[in-house]
Amino acid sequence: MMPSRWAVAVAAGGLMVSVSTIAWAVDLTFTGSGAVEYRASIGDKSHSLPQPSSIGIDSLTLEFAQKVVVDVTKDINVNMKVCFGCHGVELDQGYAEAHVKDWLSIRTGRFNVPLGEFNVRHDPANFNAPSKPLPYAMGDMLHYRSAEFNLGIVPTPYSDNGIELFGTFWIAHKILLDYSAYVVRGFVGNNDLNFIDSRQYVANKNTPSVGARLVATIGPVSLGGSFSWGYYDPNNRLSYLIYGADLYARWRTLTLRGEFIARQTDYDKSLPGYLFKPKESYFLKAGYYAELEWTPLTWLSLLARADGLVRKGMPLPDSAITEDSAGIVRATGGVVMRFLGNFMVKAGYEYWHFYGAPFEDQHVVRTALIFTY
Amino acid sequence: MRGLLTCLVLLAVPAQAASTAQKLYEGKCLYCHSGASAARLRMKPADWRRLVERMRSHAPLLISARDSEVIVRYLVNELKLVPSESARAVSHLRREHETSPQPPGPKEELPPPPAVAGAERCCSPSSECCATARAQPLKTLEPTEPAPEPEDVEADAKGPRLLAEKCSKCHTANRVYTKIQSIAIGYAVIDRMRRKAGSGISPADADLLKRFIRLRVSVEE
Repeated sequence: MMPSRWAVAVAAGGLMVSVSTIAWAVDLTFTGSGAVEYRASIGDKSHSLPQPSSIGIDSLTLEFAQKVVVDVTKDINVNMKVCFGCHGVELDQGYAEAHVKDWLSIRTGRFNVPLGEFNVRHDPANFNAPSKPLPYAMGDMLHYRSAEFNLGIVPTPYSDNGIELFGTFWIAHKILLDYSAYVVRGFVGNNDLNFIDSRQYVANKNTPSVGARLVATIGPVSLGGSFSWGYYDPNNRLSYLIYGADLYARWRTLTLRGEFIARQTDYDKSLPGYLFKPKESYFLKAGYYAELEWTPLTWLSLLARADGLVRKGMPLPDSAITEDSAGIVRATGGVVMRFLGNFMVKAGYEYWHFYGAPFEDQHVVRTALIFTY
Repeated sequence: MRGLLTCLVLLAVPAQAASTAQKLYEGKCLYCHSGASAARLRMKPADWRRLVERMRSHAPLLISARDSEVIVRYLVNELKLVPSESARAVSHLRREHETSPQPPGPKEELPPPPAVAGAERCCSPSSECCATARAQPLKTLEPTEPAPEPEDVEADAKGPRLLAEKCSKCHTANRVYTKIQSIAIGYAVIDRMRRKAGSGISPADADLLKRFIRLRVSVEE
């Protein structure tokens, strides 16, 4: 039986309190953030826009996160993070981590799967853009429904149950090489990934997924690569393969981030309803972003971003997408102002262009008030 | 001509000191507070010192001991955020200090002048105070003060910039400044973050940051 999300959240909260109480003698770190975000779409709204959230009004949404880290010993810590967002209360992280050697640490529980660069900083307080990049877009994406673009490449946050080995090597005192390899439950779905079902704490899936990430850092430049593979159906017939590369570079007050990530997803050719006879047994979805950020003052950052999402392959039955090549191109300009230490205001403008799909271009403005502690 | 140049230099030195103090005040105090919140306060110098020290205990990585001294002097001497009788006492003291080498016992303790600024702490590597610090000598030591270890001098100078560069890859700086309030937590956080894939924090970086944390936080412990 599927446990109620509220029951899990209450249990997590209780565990958090009890861990805090038991471990009062060890070091505790409490952190958290909250964000009130508003999105306004300007232009032709005749096509389906996302439904109003169950919390907030129309596109005014609230996210709140509380994290506690218990450093049990120098080499063992327990992390727990509970979020309240568009889907109610969720356990984003709940894991124990043990450090054996610099080149080997172990993490087990429910953690943010290290797939791509953006996932580790998915909290609204940890990225300056007014919205998530398209490869990681969720409900804040236009035409995100399963019968449309069906969200991005990877959900964010991507939390999953499993075990992860990770470590770091220092090569020739010049290159820092970080690796991570993991076995997690993986995504689930029915003729495509379903991120909502994948977020559940249990799922009808009998083979785990595997993946890895490798990051090389030389000075202020980091280059990373990731992949993940697994079956997503209960019968182990339909698989997915996600792979990508990312770049981070910093020079004085300029920060450049870029990423490409793609997902090859099998679909069931035997199902009825396809527009034309399927040839390949998979479709490809690829996404990218390039973001340049300038911080001329400690309290001010300006950024420009170009991102996109491409879907290539057979449109799925009942989809509004009718072309075998469809996509989104988006241009974003944004500003971030930080004040009183704990607060930041984000504002941005986005231009959305769709192709291969019957959707009008859109102008979107966003603003958000975020606090951290 | 040489006399004129000397006069210009002598005039420029206090102006530069005031400017540095103002930048420190803006960079450290106004990082979390509005200017108005400080401007409406009127406190004796000793109370300002206590308040600034308390703020320093909340964010020791942001505000150093030397910073707090400069800031207290700026609040008292430049912004004159003291009660009217204290302001008179401070003015009186300053006059006496300027005219007499050994003034009579002070009615109100005047914050001592700061040591020659070492590597000023900055909120970001781009800040002007960082540029000022780079242009200044590392440290002027009191005669009785034991010579610091070279690693400590390096950590003191490079720590703020390294912290800003490495941590801001994923976090806002405020989260770092306000969360590390003890050496044990600071060390644990650095180790935990260093091990995250893609953190870009090398063992040498971690050692320097830990040393920096120990220098800054040890006073409070």
